[in-house]
Amino acid sequence: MHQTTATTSMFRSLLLLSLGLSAVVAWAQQDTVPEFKALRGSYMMYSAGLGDPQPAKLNDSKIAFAIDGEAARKMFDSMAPDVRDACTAGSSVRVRTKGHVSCQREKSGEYRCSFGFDLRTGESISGSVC
Amino acid sequence: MDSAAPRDSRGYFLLPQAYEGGGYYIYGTPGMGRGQYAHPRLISALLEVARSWSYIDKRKFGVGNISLFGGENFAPHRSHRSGLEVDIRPVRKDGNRLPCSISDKQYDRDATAALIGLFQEHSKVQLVLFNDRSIRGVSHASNHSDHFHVQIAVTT
Repeated sequence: MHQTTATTSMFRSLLLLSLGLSAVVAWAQQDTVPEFKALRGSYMMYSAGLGDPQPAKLNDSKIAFAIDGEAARKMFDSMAPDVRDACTAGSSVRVRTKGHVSCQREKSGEYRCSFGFDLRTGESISGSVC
Repeated sequence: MDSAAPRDSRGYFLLPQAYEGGGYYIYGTPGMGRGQYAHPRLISALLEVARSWSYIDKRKFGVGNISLFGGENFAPHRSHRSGLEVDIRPVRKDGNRLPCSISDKQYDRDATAALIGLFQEHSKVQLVLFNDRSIRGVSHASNHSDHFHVQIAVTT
């Protein structure tokens, strides 16, 4: 009787250890083997400012990207902490920014990120406006 | 969709697309008013400011993005989903219906300050974001040199 209980207990421990190791291996593989994944988003090419965009020109061409879904969530999670944004203050929207990259989590749980480039200089520029 | 529905799923109406006399003109992307679904409180505020403006200046001021049909995400905006936010172009010296930045020769600082003053005097206006620091009462925010952003209070 005691031997059966001990065997069952040992089996459970091994099973838990095995599951734990599998999870660690899966996490480690995810962490060490980066892969390109599809993402959902949109872009706009423009000239002048993002707040009053005009058609892109030969000597003034910029691009703004807006992405959402899983990629935006992962970016948001990697960009802690939240920052105060006068534009969204009091609206339950959480905003995180690093340089010209901006991400936000809506009250509904949607995530959105934006960033941009000046295509004449390659300079990183903001991809969002209030 | 070529033209915008007059009323969206929230019951918000399009901002009237023309204003007789002075007042305002409309601009923004997407065109045809598709980014100008406004909360009734904002429509009232804009009409009141436009009326006051028409008494002091013959030039029209540009009213841009407000919100999309149903309050959908409005890239590249971080806000503009409530129908209570609106972008306004700075006033140009020549009065043309064109973009204008605070660094442009056409930028009319005094007229823009007067226009912002009318918004700030309105009881429902909560916040004005604009990058001309010489104008009293505005808050600085990136990408706000070519328009000012007006936020109407959610509650009275």
